[in-house]
Amino acid sequence: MRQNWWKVLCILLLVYTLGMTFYIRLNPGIIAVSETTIQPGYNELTLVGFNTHFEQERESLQIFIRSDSSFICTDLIEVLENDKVTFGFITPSELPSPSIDIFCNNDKDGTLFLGNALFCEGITKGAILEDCEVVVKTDAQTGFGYPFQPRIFESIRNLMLHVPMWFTMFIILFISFVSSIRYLSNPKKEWDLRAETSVNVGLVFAFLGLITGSVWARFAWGAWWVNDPQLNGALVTTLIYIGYIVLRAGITDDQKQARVAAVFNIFAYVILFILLMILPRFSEGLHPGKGGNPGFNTYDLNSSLRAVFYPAVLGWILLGYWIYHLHLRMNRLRNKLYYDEEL
Amino acid sequence: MFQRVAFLIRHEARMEFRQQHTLIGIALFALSTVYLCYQAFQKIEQGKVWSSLLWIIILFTAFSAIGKSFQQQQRGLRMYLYWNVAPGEFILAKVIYNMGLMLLLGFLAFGAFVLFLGAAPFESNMWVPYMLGITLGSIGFASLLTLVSGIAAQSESGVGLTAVLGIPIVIPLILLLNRYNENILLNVPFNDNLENLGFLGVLTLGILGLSYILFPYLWRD
Repeated sequence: MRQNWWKVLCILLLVYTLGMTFYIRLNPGIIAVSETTIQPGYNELTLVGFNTHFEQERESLQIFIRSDSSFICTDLIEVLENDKVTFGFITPSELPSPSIDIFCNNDKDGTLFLGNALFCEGITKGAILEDCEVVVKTDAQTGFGYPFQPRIFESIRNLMLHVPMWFTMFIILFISFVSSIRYLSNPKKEWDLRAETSVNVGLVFAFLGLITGSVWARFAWGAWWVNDPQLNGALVTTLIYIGYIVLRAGITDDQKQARVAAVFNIFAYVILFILLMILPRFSEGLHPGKGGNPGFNTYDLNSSLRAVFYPAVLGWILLGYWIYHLHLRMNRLRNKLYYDEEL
Repeated sequence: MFQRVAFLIRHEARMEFRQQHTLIGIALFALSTVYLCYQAFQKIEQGKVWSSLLWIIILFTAFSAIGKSFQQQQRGLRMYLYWNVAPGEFILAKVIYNMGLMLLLGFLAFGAFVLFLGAAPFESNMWVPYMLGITLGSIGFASLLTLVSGIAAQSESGVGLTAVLGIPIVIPLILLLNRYNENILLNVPFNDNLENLGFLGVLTLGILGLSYILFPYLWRD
């Protein structure tokens, strides 16, 4: 039992992670407004919230719109539901900027924000005459919950499933890389077994990462597959290691198989490292942190995400290592049986 | 060492010219693929299509030219080389020879492409940087595919394995080349594009170093 503490830790972490992944609620946010383009003059719009409490907090509800740094006050017309409210305002014919942000504030949800929500047509550039004085009545803390992200919504939970797969894959393939180096410097069957087993297990995680990523991409970006450096890297990784398995299958002599496979493995891993770690930094893409996209580590990876994400990564890495460990033991036995029969 | 490498390169070239049919076969492959593209597209106006088509042709020419570079050796000759040449020298000679071959084939494909499909996307200041791209790209392909074909030659599954192993690995090179060429045709200033070229050079050097380190392990047999 004492040497298996990490397996217990793995189970605990995964139970905790999976529970938290699906149990924690999402913080409130603004999904959209009924119109996206407005004209100067009186406008009446409906704001659609997510997990908000407009009806309960009718008393403290305030909505402001902002152009550049000047605010315009709005009048509430009707609170339709907890997540729907209509409001009206007069757009002056002179605005500092045609793109308009919306703020919404109440006692329970705190301050919600939707950037570039509206675009105002037919205005002239200029300062607003009567700048609305913003008196925020409340600054409620929303408590423990996943941050609301426009367009991602509930799918942010996938962060706990998708990203750990790639971390795990990388760690396990690193085991394979190191084992291959050790095989070349000291050709023992054990190192070859380790290299082969870890590639097999790593590929499983690569497929899981591709599947979870593909589903997420369909939701957030609108297509199962998009052109993005990370996706290229993921696909190339998978293809290279399938190639590794094909290469092994084509060589019958045991030692030659191990040696050639080790050479290919080292070569592939170094190129992969360049592809995944260095090239994406110089190109634009859709993944967070790239090409003007906000990274998850700025304000998005808040304390509640962190509290689940880091245990998730550790838990999945331990699980991956566990699977690898079991397979390795199985392969050792198989290898032993094979040689015993031959002798 | 340089003498021996030079000798090996000369030997390799002599072998190639003695069996002229392989060299001519590959050149013919490149030319007929270009002609096939000409039949399909006639003239191409868009730079992106022009460039990607050319690079696909160069890539597949590289696969067929270099894929067989370890296959045609006779057993006796291999034994002889094994006892007389260090593996590092051997792979260096192979890579340098393949670089020359690829430069030849790359520019042949480029010339034929310009001849048949026209050079509509080109302006006068784009020729030199583009040719620089073809030079570095051919060198990169040659150095990468030499080791891969050496690995594939160890397997019993034949020439097709070079493509299975090589295509995924060659993708980083292709992405860099693609970005470089696209920038040229979009008239991006050359200095801003130099980064891609530098990366290409560094990647090629890295591949060369790896080949030099790893090839001795393939050599033992």
